[in-house]
Amino acid sequence: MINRIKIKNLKGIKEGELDLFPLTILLGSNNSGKTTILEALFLASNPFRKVPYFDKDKNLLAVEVLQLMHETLKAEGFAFLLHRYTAQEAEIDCNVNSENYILKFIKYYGKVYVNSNRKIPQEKIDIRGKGIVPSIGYLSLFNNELHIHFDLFLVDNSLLISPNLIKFGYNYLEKNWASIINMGVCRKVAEESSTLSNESYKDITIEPFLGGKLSIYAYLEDGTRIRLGDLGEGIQSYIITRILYEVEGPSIVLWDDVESHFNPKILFKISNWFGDLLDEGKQIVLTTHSLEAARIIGEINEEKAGIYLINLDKNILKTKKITLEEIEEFKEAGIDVRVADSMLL
Amino acid sequence: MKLFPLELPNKPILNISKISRKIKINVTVPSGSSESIVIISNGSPDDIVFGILSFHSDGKELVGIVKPPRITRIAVLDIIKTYLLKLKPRIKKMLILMDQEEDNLNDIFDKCKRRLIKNNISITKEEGELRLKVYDCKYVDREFKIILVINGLDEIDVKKHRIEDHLIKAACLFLKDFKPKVNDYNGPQNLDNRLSSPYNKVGGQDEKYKK
Repeated sequence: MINRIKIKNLKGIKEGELDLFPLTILLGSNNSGKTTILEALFLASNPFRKVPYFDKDKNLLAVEVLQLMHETLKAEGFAFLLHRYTAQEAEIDCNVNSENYILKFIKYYGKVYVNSNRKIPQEKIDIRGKGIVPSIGYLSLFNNELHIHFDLFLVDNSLLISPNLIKFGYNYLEKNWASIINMGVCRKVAEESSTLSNESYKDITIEPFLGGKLSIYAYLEDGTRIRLGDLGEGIQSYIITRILYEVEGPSIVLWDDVESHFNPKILFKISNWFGDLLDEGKQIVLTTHSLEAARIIGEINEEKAGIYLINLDKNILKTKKITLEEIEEFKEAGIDVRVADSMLL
Repeated sequence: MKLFPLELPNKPILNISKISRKIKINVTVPSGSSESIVIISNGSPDDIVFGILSFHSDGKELVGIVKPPRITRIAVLDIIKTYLLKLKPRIKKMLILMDQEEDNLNDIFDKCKRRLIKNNISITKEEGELRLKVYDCKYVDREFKIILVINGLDEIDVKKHRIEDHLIKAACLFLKDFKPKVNDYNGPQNLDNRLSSPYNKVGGQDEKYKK
């Protein structure tokens, strides 16, 4: 379990640190640094590892997934990792069992070299002013070129879930269906998903749709089928996430905007699933804008949960740990922690 | 003065925003930070009146506005410690708007003082006038002012005095022969509705008003 994370010059966070719990819930307004914390934790395992997302005929690397999430600017390259695109060095420092695992992104001549403080095979790069720096690979600042020297886990593996990534997760399932179907998880996920819907799903299959292209289907009790893409977005997201989790088997689940597409019924179901994961010793870090989501998930897993209100003040991460009781106390006083964050942090 | 909410959706701030849009004033902002907050202890139309007053007070100072959802009037004094202890920057001034209702004014101020003491808040200085008191208060190491405003007018003959009394007085000044029998309306709120259209029958004045 990652006990603490420190971030320097990564994306919008110039500096910040946060103690983590088995279940950490990050509440905050837009542009408050929530997603960057998840992304830092996601990169910490190794930016060059393959993750269960697929786009344009290729299985994506963790760092490419982040690039895809920020694709709106249509900018190529990996400069987005560095604070204000100009920082010389970004750092993610994870404390695991009193050991600090530090991942550095060092800018040098059009490239960002990635360095780990772990004793692993790394390439030696001569960086002026820094001397010989070990590197597990590099990323281009200006285009999508990258070079991988080491792609194994540096800290526990994590799976990043985000509404923006669901379609790439779906692509991954489609491309890897042969191995996924043999894992025997589809029936379990289908049956569990039935409790969230008016329909009774028995299995999840892949078959040709009209025109012959293969599609993933939910197989109903009466023998009929519905394409996964034609189900409501909440059920779709739930099914895809559950299968991706089973495929990847991560130690850490990172979920951005957990409330997105979900009504309280699905949130309740997910909260109970989180409880099972926590019992298995997994770690979960979530972001949300929804107090309802924070309450449902936090209350069900109260003993293992820590809720933070976070925001950025001049790019410095400000955090305040709040309890569910405090959230209620604020509510009684007419204060919503998300709205009054500027007067609470 | 600009008002920002500490909660959304929040009825007072939505009411103020609605009226702001209708009468083209701009008094609400989505967020802010301030050493002063306004506590609406009753609800509407106190919030609307306060919104309009904020506009006329001019200036750009930001002030937070809250309406505790389940408690009213003197009971709001039980929760002011939350504002004092949890909000940053430290709250230096709290303006509390409260309806007089059926109570005697002195009784209200006495009850408020007792309530503050019960909450371990000491009053070091007190000044003010008939319906407005400014208390210099201390709670542990926090020094702050409570400005308590009691809405209502004794000259309006109603069972429960509220901010609407001022509207009735305005109507009396505006409509020459207007003599409200407000007790017949079971409080001024109904009268407020009847005054909302100039052609409504108010105290039998409608024909004259039309002319």
